Amino acid sequence: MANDQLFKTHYTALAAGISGNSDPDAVISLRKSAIREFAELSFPTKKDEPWKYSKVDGLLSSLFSPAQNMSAVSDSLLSSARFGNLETDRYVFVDGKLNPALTQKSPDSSVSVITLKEAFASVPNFAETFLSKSTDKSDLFANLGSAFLQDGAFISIPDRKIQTRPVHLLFISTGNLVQPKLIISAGKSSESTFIEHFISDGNPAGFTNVSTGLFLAENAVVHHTKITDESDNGFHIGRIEAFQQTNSTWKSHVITMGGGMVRNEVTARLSGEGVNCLMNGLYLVTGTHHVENITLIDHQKPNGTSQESYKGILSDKSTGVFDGKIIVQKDAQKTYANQSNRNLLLSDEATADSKPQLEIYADDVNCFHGATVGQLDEMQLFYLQSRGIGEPMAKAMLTHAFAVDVLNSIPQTEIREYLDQQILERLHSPFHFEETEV
Amino acid sequence: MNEIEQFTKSEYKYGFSTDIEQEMAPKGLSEDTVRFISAKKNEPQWMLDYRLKAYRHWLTMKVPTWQNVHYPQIDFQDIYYYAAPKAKPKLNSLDEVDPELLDTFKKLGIPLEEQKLLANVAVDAVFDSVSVTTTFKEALKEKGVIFCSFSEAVREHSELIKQYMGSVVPYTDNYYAALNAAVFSDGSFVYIPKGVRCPMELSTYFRINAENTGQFERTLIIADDGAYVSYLEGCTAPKRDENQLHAAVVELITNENAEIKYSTVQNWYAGDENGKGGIYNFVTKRGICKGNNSKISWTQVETGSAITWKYPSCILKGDNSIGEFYSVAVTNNAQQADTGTKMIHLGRNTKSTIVSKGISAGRGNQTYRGLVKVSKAAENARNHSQCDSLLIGDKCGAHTFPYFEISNPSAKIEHEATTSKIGDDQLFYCQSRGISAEEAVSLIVNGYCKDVFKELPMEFAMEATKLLSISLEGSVG
Amino acid sequence: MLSIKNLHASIGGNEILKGISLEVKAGEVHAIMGPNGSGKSTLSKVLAGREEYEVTAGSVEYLGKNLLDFSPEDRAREGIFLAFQYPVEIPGVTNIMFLRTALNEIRKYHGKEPLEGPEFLKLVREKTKILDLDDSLLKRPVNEGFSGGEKKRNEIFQMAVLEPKLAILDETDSGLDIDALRAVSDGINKLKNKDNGIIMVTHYQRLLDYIVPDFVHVLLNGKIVKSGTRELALELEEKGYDWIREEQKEEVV
Repeated sequence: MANDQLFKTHYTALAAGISGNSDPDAVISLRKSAIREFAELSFPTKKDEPWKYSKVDGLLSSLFSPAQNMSAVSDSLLSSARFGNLETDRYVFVDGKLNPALTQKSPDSSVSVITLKEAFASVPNFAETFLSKSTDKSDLFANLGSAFLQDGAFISIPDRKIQTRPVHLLFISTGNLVQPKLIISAGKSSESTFIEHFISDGNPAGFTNVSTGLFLAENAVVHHTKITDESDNGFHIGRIEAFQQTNSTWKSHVITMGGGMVRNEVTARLSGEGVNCLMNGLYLVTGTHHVENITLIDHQKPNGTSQESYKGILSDKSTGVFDGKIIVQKDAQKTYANQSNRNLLLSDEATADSKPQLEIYADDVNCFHGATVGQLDEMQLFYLQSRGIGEPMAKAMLTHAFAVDVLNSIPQTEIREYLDQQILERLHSPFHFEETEV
Repeated sequence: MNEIEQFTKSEYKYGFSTDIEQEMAPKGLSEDTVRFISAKKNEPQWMLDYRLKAYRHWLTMKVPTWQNVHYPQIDFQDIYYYAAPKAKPKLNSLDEVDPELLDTFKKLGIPLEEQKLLANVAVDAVFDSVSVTTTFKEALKEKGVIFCSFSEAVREHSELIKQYMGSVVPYTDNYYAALNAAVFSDGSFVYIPKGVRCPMELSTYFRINAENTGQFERTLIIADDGAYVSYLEGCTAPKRDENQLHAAVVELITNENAEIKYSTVQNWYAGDENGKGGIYNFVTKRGICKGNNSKISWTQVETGSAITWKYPSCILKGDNSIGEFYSVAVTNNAQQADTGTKMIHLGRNTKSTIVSKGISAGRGNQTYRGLVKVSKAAENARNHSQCDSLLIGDKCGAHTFPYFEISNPSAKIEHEATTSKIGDDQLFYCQSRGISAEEAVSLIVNGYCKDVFKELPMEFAMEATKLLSISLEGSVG
Repeated sequence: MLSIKNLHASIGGNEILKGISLEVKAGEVHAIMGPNGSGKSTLSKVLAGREEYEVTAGSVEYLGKNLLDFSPEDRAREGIFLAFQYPVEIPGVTNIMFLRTALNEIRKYHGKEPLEGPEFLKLVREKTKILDLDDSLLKRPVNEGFSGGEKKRNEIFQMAVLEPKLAILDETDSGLDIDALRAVSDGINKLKNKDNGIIMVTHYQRLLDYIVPDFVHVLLNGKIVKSGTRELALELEEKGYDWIREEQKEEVV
């Protein structure tokens, strides 16, 4: 446990040193209480059920510090993170800090993106309405984030605005402690698309600990895609929590393609009636990397529907974890919930752990879950071969096909194609996908 | 009185108690208790040593809390760990069994007179802490089958006990397994020799009678190469206001080409409609398919107990070995159950099947918890799991927590689970054909459970069907 | 082009083919008939290279090469096409992507440049026209959600695009209603020419009304026990297989 102590001492000391003269009082007191909570909580172990299959303990032996200066970002890196010719409003965060010089946005955009500091000044009750609500005080890493609260953004879209241009939130890590906090507030009957996109400059060691709170007002529609493609030497812990009001729709996609140790926690609180939630995920894990997805769909009110599909493709010596829970509370009658986790093991030394869970307290419900682990289908492989397609390509095609339906619900073709190409590259595929128009 | 009330008032049929002279150990648990039990049973020194080791280990352990059930802390010093009907020291024939006892088992529908028994079922009757009698012993002996009380086996077949006891569930396994190893009072022992198909079903009938007692029995079944046995277990207890603890251990071992089929119909007293009284059923059941091509099949129908907490499991060590788990669990009123299975695939070409049907009614809360683990060396492992939950009424809960840990790519693992209620249209359809709501529910639920019931031996299947309707009485609003 | 000599094959230790010999020349249509379980489907799978079948004796020469040496994909590239009895569903892979990959792999094998999108589309459109198929078929995932008849037509459509030298049609007629059967046979007839060979494996002679075979062989218990012309098929239709079984017995006696 000596490591545990070292870990805490390191981060509490750093957090205490953050200069906060110009910060609002609310921020300073938030940080202080978070430091206290952080110091009291113990580091999670395999005995803690939500961390049963976690490899987060690697963080005990690698300690990180925040970046001192804002690094410069090369044009080639920026352009490699583009989605084909898709026009987006782009905001670039370097080591968690918004770099306004790199912002590209259309003049008629209805989405506002401001720093947290600005939000404190301009949004009434910002801390109570948004910040505290989307921070789990019992979670060590959430508190770690709050202890350093500074970076990130408050993003809002007004009532009834339809923003067709996606908002691309590009996070570039240069290998430090990176802890942004994002708050997204979607107004009544608004519709918008957000892409949280995490990449590294080079292949540095680093620790990204990001937290996103989404607030969907009545009848709002939010398409939300998170792409994690950071350094193989890095750690990434991401918490996303969405609060959904009546009749709102949240479509979440969590795509993990890179990172040494990645933990995605995705939570949907269906706190209004008739809410829709789509939670899709794809984790493509290679080498000795480890990816864990912890999801929770909390049906609190009647007539909600949730549809969840997470797929893992595990090769080499990698491990992939799915730990997904659906709760249907007493009041949530007429809930429809469907959860599925499917895994493809491509090598002898890869491991898949899966824990799909249903916790149901209402009787008039239809809930399903399914989990599978297996290899590529032999008959399908033979069928492709019997048409002249060589084994490596046949395997790549089938693997791609396995993955692709998770992406189908992303509305922008360019993003789908971008992800497709990325997936094929990771699979070292001789096969190249091209959407042939018929 | 309306229909619902009428049904809720239906009595637990086996709730009577027997007034019989008892011999009991002093209340509470200490090394002296352990020595007392061992002495009562005339055990050899090695057995006492084993118990003491287990007891000392138990002292170092903490009560597990991870399971999804809630109950007040158990005071382990407020329990009698040994209660036996005072009787002649040795029972050679039924004539020597206390007529009160015979009568008790008769009331339970378990006649012990061999001529009256269902043909082809040999019974070991366990009353509180001791085995009362074992029927058909002679007939079995001819085939070389050993079927006797555990106490007798400790004395008469010590080599087998020494070799196998604790080999599947070591006393270090968990809190209640350690407790059991320290204070177990009796149970059943079965050995089926090489190549023998046991000519009849073997059955143990457990009855808790005495107040404030815990029942801690052990069952050990060994099927040697090519052997087969089907084993049935049934349980009841009187209605008492206090909770009673039942912490048993069951170990199954199959050698090459052997098969054990283990069926349980658990109908311990569940407590009253307000959740007062009832049995805490905390049981460790595990089998190992040691030999190639061997098979272990668990079938359980869990309708009783205030709290059920158990996971009959299979370790599939032999190549081509097969593990099966078929379960129906019903929770009504304030009952709670956290049950499921573990399938540990170690050998090559191993196969497991899990079919779990949970029915929650009243304020019952039920959890399916299961683990399917495929180790690196377990080539071509196959698992199919189907876990369904049925909810009746809006105050109950149903939870499904399966775990999969797969480390071999040739594994093919499929799990499906559903949670739903009985469709209004199904009920209406039945009713429009003249079937009452109660009957319709019973009909639909039985259909829902048929995949499990078909695994039970005939007599048990009928009993299970009946039990199910009784357990669900009063659940339709 | 194909010469099968004394072919024996088994699965899981069970011998299914017990010495089959068959010669197929370019331009010929052969029908292989036989009751269920006689080994018809096994023969077609062995020729296509399904690995679960083990060839225990005999040889298969195809265009002067030992066919059994080739992987399934190389057999396809060498011009062998198996129309599956039960075409496999591949969710997530569209027909067009599937076919384009297959065709270009085959072209690559023969040292030809891959077909670019527009050229490929042109080819595919021609073929859909010949077979009177709807273009929407191309966008759908391979065989997923297809009716039985659609699956069989899709097999023939693939055959049209890949232009094999030797086509093996495994029970292509089974499960088809008369209209579908006519459509499928029309397609096959359009693809038939003097340079390619066709082996039709079938249970009924119904298909042979539409595609007239040059030779008919009866497969019984893993062996070809009788060969003849179209008339043999008609005789089988009328009298069933029993009389051949009887004949066999007499011969043995």
